[in-house]
Amino acid sequence: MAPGSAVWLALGLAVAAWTVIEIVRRRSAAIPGRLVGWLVGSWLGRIVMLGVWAEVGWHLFTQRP
Amino acid sequence: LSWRIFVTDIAMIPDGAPRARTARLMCAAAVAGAAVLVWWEGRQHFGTGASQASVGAVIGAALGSAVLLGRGRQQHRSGAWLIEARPFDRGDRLRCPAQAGEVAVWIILLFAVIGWDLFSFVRQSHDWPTLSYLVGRVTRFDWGRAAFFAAWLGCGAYLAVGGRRSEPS
Repeated sequence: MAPGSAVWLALGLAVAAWTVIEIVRRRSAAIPGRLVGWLVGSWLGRIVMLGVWAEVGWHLFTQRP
Repeated sequence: LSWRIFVTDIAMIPDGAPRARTARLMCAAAVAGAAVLVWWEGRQHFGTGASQASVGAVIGAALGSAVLLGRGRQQHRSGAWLIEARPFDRGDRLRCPAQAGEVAVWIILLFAVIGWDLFSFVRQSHDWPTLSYLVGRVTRFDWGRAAFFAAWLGCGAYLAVGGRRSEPS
């Protein structure tokens, strides 16, 4: 495994583990959800988020990543 | 339920049983349409005219529906939202050190992912893959592309119409 891939694996496991810990504590990963909910609370935040979403989709599905 | 109410409010369907039935039909049609689109998109490939057209159409539809369906339904005005920029209210549990610690862990994880992606991007080597390169190794398969497209579509649907008031101002 390439060294960079090992780091990604560790990061992925850390995010997954923390998400599971949050869900087990019955907060159901509420903090990221509340952050996104706050971001879409105004036109400005919503349009910025939609712009990021559009760019991610265009990159992943039409360009070779 | 709130999504159904939102859809029927937008369509200005009168209250009562026909309203609930119409809402269910509209939701079912939207889910079926999305499923067909995901299935079809899974069979497309990078850089083709079809993939560019379909992704472009989805982006256009999301932006259009965000504007058309959400007029007068935002929670806050952008100016006030910017001035009072705080995702967590002061009277909130954030005052509790336990939750402040949880927020700190999320922030550390987020910055670790972004930072490592930037580092890998600068190195430009397959020994140091970027996140999109890793995603590309999954989306080269039909099932992987369909799964990522479904997740992306769901996020877009929420960003376009979610988190709004059910009644226009």
